[in-house]
Amino acid sequence: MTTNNLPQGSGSGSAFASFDRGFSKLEDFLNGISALAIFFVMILGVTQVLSRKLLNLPILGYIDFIEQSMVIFAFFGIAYCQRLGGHVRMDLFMAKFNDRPLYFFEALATLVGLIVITILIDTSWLHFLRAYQLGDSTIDIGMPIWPAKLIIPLAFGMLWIRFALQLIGFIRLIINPNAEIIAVPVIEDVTDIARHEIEDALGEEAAKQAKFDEMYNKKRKK
Amino acid sequence: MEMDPLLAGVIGMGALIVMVFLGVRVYIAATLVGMLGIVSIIGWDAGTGIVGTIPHSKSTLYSLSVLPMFILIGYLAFHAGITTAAFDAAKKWVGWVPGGLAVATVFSAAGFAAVSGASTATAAVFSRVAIPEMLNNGYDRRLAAGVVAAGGTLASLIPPSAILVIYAIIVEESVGALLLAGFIPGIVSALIYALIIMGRATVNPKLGPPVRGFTFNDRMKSLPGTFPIIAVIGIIFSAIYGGWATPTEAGALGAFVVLIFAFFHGMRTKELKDALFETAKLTVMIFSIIWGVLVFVRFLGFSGLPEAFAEWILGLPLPPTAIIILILCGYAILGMFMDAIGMLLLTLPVVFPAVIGLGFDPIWFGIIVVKMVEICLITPPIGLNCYVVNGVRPDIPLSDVFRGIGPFFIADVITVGLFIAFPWLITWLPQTLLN
Repeated sequence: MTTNNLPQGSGSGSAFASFDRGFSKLEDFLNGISALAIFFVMILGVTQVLSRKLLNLPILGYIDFIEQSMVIFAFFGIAYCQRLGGHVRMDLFMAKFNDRPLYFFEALATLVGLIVITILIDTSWLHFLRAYQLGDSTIDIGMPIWPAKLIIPLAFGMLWIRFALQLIGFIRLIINPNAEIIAVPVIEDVTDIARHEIEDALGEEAAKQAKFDEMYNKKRKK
Repeated sequence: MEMDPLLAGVIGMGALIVMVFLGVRVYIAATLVGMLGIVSIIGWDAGTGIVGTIPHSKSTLYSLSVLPMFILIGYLAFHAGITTAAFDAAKKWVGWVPGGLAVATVFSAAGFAAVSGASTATAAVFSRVAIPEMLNNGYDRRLAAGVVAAGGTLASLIPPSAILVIYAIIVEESVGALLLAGFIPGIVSALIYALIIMGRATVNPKLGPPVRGFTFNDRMKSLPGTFPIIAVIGIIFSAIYGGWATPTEAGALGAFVVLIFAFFHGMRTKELKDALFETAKLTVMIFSIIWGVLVFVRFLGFSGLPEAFAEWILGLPLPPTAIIILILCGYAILGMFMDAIGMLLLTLPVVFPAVIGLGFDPIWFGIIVVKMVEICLITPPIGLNCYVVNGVRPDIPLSDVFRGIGPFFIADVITVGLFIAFPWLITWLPQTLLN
């Protein structure tokens, strides 16, 4: 797992860094919408059960609503999650490298992501276009499906920009490994991951106070 | 450039492994290999056309909408004051046995697991709630740390468990059956932990003296605080068994109940926002890896690799039990290096058909595999739960946490052995309730 190093101090005044900051805000906003959609699914679920059981009045098109809104929480946060290094990967070997070799492999992995997403934008756009032209709709209440399908190439577009930013960030570091880290996630070791878990469970305060055995760690880090 | 499908499958599997080792995100690696594989078998236009439909079609399945609900319950649970209440109740009810407070930790962690699916987070919370009380009562430091790290692992089996839902989706089994199936194994794991503690504390009473002196009245008074736990278990079980709500609706109700409790317990709006943001992040991570892996699975379907692998496994001159033990050892090794969700999604498409071919029950295998990845959370070289305990309690050296885990690791091996010897421990509940 990896985390983001927010750009700070010198170097953060560059156009690249300020674009990264501005784009991060947009990602945060979209993830916020995703969070709201989850809250909405919860409220809708509670309403559906109560209204069906108590009033015998199920919400018309409940499953259609849920299925269409799933696209929001399945995709709106995808670039946000990429920025924070939240997507699953194995950094067992990556963690063994430092400086240039590390940034080289990181750049390579990012480039792979960029290529995959480029193709996916194209094919998911076609998928949307077909739905739009044919006028596909949901089974239950006949909601049009194309808006949900349109969200996917758009979200992939956001992800594409994020991958491009990370690629530039890594190439920048290959050229100058001592440069300030901007717009790329850095690899976390097990203690950083543990710190995040503590933060989730006990709050920021506890995470800041968390200390780990240095001796044992040094031994682990060969 | 059409290619022999099976050959393409083998090359694809190899390429996927190489890419994942090189640090490519699993959802990207799986999509790329799946896409290239499908294209190599049926051509560019048809191939990319199929791939383009998968992110939408596979992420708008109603059955998947339960995931954010379960994840949300987990994040809200930390704010509802459940841990303290559960530990207090467990202490008053079972504190009198040898090693009473450690046993209470096991049962309250199991109870908390019913509202939280996260092992590491459970370990973090109990480090703060249970360890101080154990140390104040003169408990052995290693026992106190070990029981908390191990107790956390109960979270993935006891419903609601997101990882069991993911397993169900990927192998196309009933989500409800998997959720019900985790219950008894979760309890059995907890009981075996408790027995080991009691055994050790009986032989060496200094390890953990019992705590006594609670009246029946005290005990009854400790129960209301555990209501959210009972409510969430009650809602999910009765919904699946009685069929009065879908898993998503039950999850929504559960999340709502915990939310109300969290508000009464003083949760602020910012904490709710944080919980929702974290839920959204984890949700998109899980959905991405699901559709990515399903692209790869589609390719595997074209290639015929899973069938070929199953045939090869079935042809091995070994009894099925020996093969399954080998497979589980493979998971134990993989689990040391990889996140549980990524590991399950990458391996199941190939391993699962072989396991079913050997005559094992799909529900049974799901529980066993999840139990295996949980064991990896407490064993070196990584043992994330142990680090979490050490992080919250820096006064307990990591070496002590790892030593404290020893007996619980043995308990887990015994538990897995029991499940292999008596598969009905896992299959009985879902079969009885759902048929």
